[in-house]
Amino acid sequence: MASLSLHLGSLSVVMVIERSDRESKRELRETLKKLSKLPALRQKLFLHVYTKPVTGPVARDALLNLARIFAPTRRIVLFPFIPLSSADCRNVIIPPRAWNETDLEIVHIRPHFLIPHETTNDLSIGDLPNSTALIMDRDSTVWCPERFVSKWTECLWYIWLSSFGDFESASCRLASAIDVPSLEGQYPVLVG
Amino acid sequence: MQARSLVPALVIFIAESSSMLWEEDDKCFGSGSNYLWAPIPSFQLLTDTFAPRMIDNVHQAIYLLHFLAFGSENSTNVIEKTMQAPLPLYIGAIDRFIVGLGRLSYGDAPDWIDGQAKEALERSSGMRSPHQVSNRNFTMNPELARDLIECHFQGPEMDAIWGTCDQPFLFCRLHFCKPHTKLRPTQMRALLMTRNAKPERAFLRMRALKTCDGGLVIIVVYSCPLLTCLLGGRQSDRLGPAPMQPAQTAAGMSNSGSGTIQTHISSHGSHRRLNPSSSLGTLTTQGKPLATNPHTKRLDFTNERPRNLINLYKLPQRLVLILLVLFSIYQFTRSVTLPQILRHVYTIPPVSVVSPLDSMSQAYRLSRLTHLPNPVDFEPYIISPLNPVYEGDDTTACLCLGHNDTNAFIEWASKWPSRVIP
Repeated sequence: MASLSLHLGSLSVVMVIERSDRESKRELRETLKKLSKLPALRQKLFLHVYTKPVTGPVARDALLNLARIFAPTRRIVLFPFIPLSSADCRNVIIPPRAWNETDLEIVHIRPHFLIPHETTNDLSIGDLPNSTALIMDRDSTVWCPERFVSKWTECLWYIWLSSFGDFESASCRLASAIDVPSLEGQYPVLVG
Repeated sequence: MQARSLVPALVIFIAESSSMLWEEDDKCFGSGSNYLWAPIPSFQLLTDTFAPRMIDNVHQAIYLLHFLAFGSENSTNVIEKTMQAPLPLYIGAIDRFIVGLGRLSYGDAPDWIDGQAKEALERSSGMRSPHQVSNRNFTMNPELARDLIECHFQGPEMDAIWGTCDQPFLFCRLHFCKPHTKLRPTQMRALLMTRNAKPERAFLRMRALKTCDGGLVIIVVYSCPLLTCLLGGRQSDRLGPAPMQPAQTAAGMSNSGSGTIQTHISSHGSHRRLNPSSSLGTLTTQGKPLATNPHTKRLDFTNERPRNLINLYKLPQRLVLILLVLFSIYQFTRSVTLPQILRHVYTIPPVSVVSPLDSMSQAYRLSRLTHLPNPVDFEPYIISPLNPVYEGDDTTACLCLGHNDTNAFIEWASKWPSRVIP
């Protein structure tokens, strides 16, 4: 248990494009070409393209759920933002997957909140910064709410509520996160 | 009582039905529901036929939910069951509980519902004073929906639900409607059969879609007035039934409303042809009545034959044919989207991870994502690793990107450790 058990690998990414006209397709083609030419990235990237309808904004939580449902591994980490620096989560210890022999079910891990280094001083659930990432099982019964256009902190709160407070938090260097401006800034400015 | 899916399924059904009843845009009928899969062709048909039936179904669903919650000896905690809905099958069920039952409890009945249907809706939802339903074989208690929601929500949250649902126009846009672009089968069917839809805005194109139940829907539509006119608008009569070869069939639709649309639906081996009609009355199958062949039906859009451009403009026939071929090629290249091409280029390797989610088809996965606005398009796995290798505790990072964030993403993702070994 003392060793690091957080193996990071694949990326399940939902790319949102605004329009489906020719110019947009050309840009998408260039982007895909650029991504495909990076061998290291190419070997771990699962990219899904979502063409956004014109009417109304899209709930970011719904897109994250979409990325989650198409994730290839059982364990996922939800990033509501694009971190600029590499994630240094060496002190995050997650128990391996357990098997409940009585119920013949896999025991899901409790949600782990990855809180940025700078803001880890006995935070309550209401004080979690927007740049908090979340580790959980893909097949867990708890999913981010997609009602209307919710905020990421609402998802964190809902996960916390649904797990009846049974969660873990750990500090992880995820600083210098940036928001995704082209998604209409549904989330507030992130803590850097 | 032990079933984990019954309560959330009822909740979803009630929410979906209420969304359909309160939908105000007639182009949206039948487009927002993945659960009902109800091909509701037109507003008129909805008001006349479907609304009473749907209200009846809502009636019974609420009654059953109420019975499960209060009626039996081992009463069920509806909220708990809804929150513990299995897997992502009923994602957002608790939200839909609030929306569906809140609207039924406190919202005014839609304006277009009147007469007995309105009375039935108000009885089941609690909009009216209590009285018994006479035409049923069971006694319907009033205010069932209100009982259910008020039992489980109190205080400020209840006030918020009441305040929200009491406003008549707030819920008309719960499902974002996107009728003008590439359409899903239900949308297409709704649009084709809707008389006041604007066909020139439908951005029609060839699509082959797989439905949730395994049926294959092939839609071949050309929005080409020139082609319609050149073919005399009656090409469908000459082509004959060839539903499995979409490229061989063509039908036109002009801005003026003349022309025909063909939709080939191959579901479990049965093929249909639907041609919408403004009169919605004449159903023929290659000149035969619909009743002789239940899988094939045809409706004329208008009785007016389109004019023949060859005679009108007296163009040289060969030039017209060349233009026609070029235009057909142009239409075909437009109809194949880039993601479709790329999906063929990048073959998707099978992922050998045993999980309940892995056994789902992509269409089924998507159909569970109930709150996403109907996308113009969604292409999963447009890029995927050629030879992915996973270990038991590998973790996948899930993100969503805007189109302009690629550079930041590449910069970060290239640093994302492929594997951190302790």
